[in-house]
Amino acid sequence: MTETDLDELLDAWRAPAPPPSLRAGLRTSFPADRRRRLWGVPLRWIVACAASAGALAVGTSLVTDPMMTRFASRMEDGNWVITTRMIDPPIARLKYWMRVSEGMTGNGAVSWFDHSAGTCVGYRLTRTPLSGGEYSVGVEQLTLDEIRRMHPTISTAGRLLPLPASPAPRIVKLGESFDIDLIAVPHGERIYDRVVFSSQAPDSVNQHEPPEIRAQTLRLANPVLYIDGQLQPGPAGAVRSESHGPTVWFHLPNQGRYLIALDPQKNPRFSQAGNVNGATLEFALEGNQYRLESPEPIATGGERPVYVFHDEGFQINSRSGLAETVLFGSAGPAYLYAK
Amino acid sequence: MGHAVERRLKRARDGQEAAFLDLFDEQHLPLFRFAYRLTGSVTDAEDIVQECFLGLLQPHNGFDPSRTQLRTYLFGAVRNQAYKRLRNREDTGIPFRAPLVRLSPEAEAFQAELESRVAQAVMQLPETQREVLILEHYEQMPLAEIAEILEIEVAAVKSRLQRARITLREALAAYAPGAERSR
Repeated sequence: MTETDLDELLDAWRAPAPPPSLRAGLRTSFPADRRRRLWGVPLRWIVACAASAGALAVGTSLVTDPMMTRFASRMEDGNWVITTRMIDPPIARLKYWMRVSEGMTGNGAVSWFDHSAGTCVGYRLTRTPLSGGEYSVGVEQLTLDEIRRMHPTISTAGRLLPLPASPAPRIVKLGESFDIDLIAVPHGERIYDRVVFSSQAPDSVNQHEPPEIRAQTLRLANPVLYIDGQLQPGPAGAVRSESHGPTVWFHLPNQGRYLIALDPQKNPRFSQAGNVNGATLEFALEGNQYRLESPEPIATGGERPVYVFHDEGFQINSRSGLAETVLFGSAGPAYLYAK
Repeated sequence: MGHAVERRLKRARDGQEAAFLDLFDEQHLPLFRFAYRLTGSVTDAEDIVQECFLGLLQPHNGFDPSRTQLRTYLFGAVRNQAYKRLRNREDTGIPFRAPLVRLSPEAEAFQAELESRVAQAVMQLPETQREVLILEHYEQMPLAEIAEILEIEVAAVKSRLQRARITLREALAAYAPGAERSR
């Protein structure tokens, strides 16, 4: 075969034209107010964080709160395992804010899924009660499949990262805390979980947010959903469910996802559909009445309008086994800016 | 030319969508083809090119116009994104799917088979050879520019290209003019 023959054969493999959705997708993803963003986060959110932290946007003290999120699950003996996810340096919290999903199950598994990097990591905390308020605690790394099941909204296949270190089994007293490293970037961020066994239920993560952020935040703590007066079956398990953010959502089997916001940032996909007042959020859409109730306030500031976007095309990841389940969750500001 | 691209990118970063789309329109076709041939997937290629262009808008983006041309930078970015996806794909074992073509009925069967075989033969090359072959043959890129994108010496580009072509010649020998094909 001559060089020319080979060239002609290779030419048989033709690349298709780019689909029109490539350019269209780029247009819709182009942020309208780039100058006011940092790491893709609208600047006013950052300023609010900074102001509340007393840092006033000076260098790396822009954000000083290292807490990313908090999980809690109740054990058989009535005590709580409270896991607070931390980041060092705290400024990196903004970098990860919109690109990470976190999950916890009732059997003590916690996970981290970085959408942007396509990486994930997770572990299960085994705990055996001993006498005198002590627990024997071990850490088992989760498999990729286990983590995927914990993140039903993510379609990325994901690449499993090992835990930076294999924590040895230990004896822990009630009230004593210990750390488990999740991510350790050389010369970069350290993301770790601070775990404490407690007889007290945890306070809300939301209470740690700056007032400016909290004012625009919706929070669903152990919510229940009624549609046209009928209570919908929620996810089972002993996890204390709390979702909070500028957008919260619920998923209904075969109907997609309903995203709810207090301030939709002029996003035309959201329309004013109802109100939130304390621990009750109600809206009407497409001929149905939806009512969310929570034991704790969903929003601050009395009665306020809510805006809703029904994302009918949204699908729960089939690997999760949760596609037929009513699910609740929250999302960062990115959803408000995506047109 | 370089300054014009730089100015357009600055306007795009300042929020001018038209400048951003001009850059995209100028650059995206070879990038899409490259991403497609590296991954064998239109969907992946679409995502990769989109991510690379949106990445340009990030303030901490690594593109430095004083050191490299935008086109060279973008080809490098596409390559990195493509390999990241291929590694994820390896985790889940998603197979490469040969492209489908639609031709006249007479030629369809043979052309589809040939295209599929060529695609598979190229996809089965080692990564280091595949990327060089795609850039040199399909994108008609000078060896020096390939070397810059891959951050290797021109001699290494030549060597990889030569090895790729030897492998392909063997893999596709049955399709050479005059060759006997058994099916």
